[in-house]
Amino acid sequence: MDPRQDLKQLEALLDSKAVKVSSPRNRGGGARSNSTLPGWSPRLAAQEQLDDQMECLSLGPPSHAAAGDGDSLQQARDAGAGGRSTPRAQQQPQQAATADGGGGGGSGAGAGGAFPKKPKLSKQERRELQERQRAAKAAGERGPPSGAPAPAAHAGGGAAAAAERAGAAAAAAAGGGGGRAAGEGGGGGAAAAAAPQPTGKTLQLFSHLADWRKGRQTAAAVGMGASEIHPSVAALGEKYASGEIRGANARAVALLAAFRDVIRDYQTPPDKMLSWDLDKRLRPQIAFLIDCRPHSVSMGSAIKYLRNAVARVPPDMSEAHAKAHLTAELDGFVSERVVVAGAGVADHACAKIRDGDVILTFGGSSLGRALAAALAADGVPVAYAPLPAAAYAMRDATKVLLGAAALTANGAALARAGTALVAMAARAHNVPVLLLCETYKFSERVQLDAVVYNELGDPAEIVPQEGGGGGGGGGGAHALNLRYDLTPMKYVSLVVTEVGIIPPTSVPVLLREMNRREDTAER
Amino acid sequence: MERERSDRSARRTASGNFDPSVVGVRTFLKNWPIVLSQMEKLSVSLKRRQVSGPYHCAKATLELLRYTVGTCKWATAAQLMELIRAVGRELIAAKPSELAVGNVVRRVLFVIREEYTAKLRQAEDAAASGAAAAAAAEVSVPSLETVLGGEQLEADFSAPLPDLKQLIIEGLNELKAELEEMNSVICERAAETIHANEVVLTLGRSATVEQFLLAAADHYRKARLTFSVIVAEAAPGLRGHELARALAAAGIETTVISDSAVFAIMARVNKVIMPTHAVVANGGLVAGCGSYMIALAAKELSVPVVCVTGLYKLCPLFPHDQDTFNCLLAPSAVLPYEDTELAESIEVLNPAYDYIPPELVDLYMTNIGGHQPSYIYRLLAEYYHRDDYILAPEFEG
Repeated sequence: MDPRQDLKQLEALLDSKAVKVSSPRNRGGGARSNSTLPGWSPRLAAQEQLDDQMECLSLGPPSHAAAGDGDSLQQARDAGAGGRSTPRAQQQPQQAATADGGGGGGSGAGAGGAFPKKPKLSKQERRELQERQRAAKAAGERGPPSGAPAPAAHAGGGAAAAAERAGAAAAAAAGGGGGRAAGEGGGGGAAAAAAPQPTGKTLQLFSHLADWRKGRQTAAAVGMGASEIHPSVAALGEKYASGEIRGANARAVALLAAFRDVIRDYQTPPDKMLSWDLDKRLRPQIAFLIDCRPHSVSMGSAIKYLRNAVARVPPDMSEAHAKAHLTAELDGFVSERVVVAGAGVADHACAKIRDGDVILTFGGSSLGRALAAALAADGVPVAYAPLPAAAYAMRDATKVLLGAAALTANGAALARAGTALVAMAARAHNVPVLLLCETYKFSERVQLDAVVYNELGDPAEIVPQEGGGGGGGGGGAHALNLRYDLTPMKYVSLVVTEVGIIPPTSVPVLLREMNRREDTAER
Repeated sequence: MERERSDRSARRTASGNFDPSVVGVRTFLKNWPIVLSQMEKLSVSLKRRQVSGPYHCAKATLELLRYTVGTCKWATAAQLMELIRAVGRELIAAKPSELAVGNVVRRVLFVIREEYTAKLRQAEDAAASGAAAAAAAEVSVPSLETVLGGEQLEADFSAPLPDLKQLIIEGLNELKAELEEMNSVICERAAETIHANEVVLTLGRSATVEQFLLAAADHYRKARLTFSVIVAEAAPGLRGHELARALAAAGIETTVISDSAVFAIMARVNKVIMPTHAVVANGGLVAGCGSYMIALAAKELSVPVVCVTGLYKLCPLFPHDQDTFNCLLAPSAVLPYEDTELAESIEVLNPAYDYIPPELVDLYMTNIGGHQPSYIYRLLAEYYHRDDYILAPEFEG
């Protein structure tokens, strides 16, 4: 997981889809925000030369970042932040553009070239241009007709991603003060008459959950010049917030990959001890990631492991040695607790699948479809149905296999919204439910329902803002996008872990054993 | 040759009346081409889903049957009932899953029976002397025997009665008025069903539920009270969005959720208002896909499920499983045809309905009041004649 590669991939992806990442960072500067990520592309372009200076850019306080290229990049980033560009950045647009064009190719140069234009546009003009661009892009992206099914409308697919982004754009525009989101005809060309102004307001019941926009704002704000955050971590935060990296395993692995970079670029200041200072440096990074999106239990485990490993570094160990040691520890976690564990879970689960079994599983939107495609490609007969039809399909199923983001100490499974419904329907039809979960996703937390702890997603994933009925305020209905639900223990027949198959009642037992083992290991 | 024979038989029956053992209904109706074309038109519309949904199906069927009664020639109620049955069978065959069609046919038959019996009694009364009338009055006093339906007069509907047609048409007009007013009658019970400050969950879009919620909101608006509605979008049709828009426009605090969040949100829901496609004989219901899991989740979390329905959805047939009254819709709503590679390699299921067993329903709120599911069988006896339960064995048995 090379972060550079990731970013390049992201850029390529965005370029190919001609999708603009709209976030508050682009506020007021939508005309210029090309398909590159304004905050990161310049740095990325010049990354080869920058590797040496990375640590001062990333981990040191902002004043340390005053050297050479780093400075210009900082300005480029500020310029990239649109209307908020600092006077210095405007004085040196050439420098910024150069840094941008250094490796970024056409798109980067395009972004640079647009800088001088900006002050000439009045607010009104900017807004018009912005609307035109959005409408053009929306028209280009809008694939399926208005009757797009829910699975497609939720996430993942091109159209869905577009819808999601369009929603974000609307949010950004509203945040910028009076901005209007372009109406995206729902296939029929019916553009919204009035600009939907997503209030994000949800039922009072869910007011305790963090606003779904907070993560994107946080992720976006880091580009504004807070250099406390390591670029790999910042890039990761962006991906967490945008939902590009999702799923418990992917998030934990990406987290450790980012922290590998942090450790690589870390230099112990003189008179400081690595195990203390690094932990101190890690904390804001972790806090930033959690602000981008509340951490999953899997990430919590990874973070706990990382911090324990840092704390255990002997004071007399040399820095290079310590860094190598920590990197190895992180790699060890990924391979032992995630990769090998995943394979172990698969092995155990395989033993429970017999010839002739009909397995029902739940993937949710794009993931489910991808799974169906992969299985079909492997020659497995596959039937695909939307979630509401799960009960209909359940009659033919002999086993249900489900995944979980976390298992709580009271045996309940916190998993992608919809999992509990499938498990419930399975029990109603007397079909055994196998829950597949690596042990690093076990949590000491207890939870009784999914409202106490949950996460809110972008309501535009449910109701596209344009022409849709929900999501927005102004008398419209709200849309609530809950990411998780809680599957009570009674619906689960077996929990399949890498250490064996256990009944859900034994989750706390396994937790206790694991804690005991960790304690002994520490001693 | 075949044609010739049927033409001949049509000619033969043109003077006579409909006898299904002699000619098919289409052949018979050739004598009344307008009725035939109306029937064909409705059949095709049903097949194509141009007419869909219980209310529209019921209304269109009633229109056609009333027209048939008024236009076609028939001498006795028995003949008319044969004709209505035959036309009904055609419509049911066109779209077996639209149970309201059959329900209306049964109701029409019920009306014919009622009017015939009443008219017959009236005629007999007029013919009989005063003493005979006194005896008849004595008979009409309910005894245990008559209550239990022992030796009831089973008419054979063969007596030709004057003015019967007029009476039946009037009866059908009443039926039509009842059908049209049904939703507003149900709405009178909205305020007693939904309380202020409740959180109500529903799914998809049903005209009955929409009017019901709006009526409740109207009621509470005067007292400056509110309740909130959560609408599950009901993929893949996503008609929940339409309902949410309509409710929000009326000032109800409305939240759309995806179907997947139903279990999570059920913990905070006070009541599920369930739209339905049909109420079946065992007290269960056939409702849009996704309803079963909502009802089940509600049961699991002890949230009452109230089914709001007009009794034209009451169907005297028994379901056996999810497939009995179900049909699979086009898969394109689930998996767009553009994804050809995947579409070719996998099977895509897009069922239209779910069957919800009676134990998952707490209350039926109907136009004649609230009933528990176990009482549905009794309503059947009031609404339909036992002999009409099975209309088209090949489609409903």
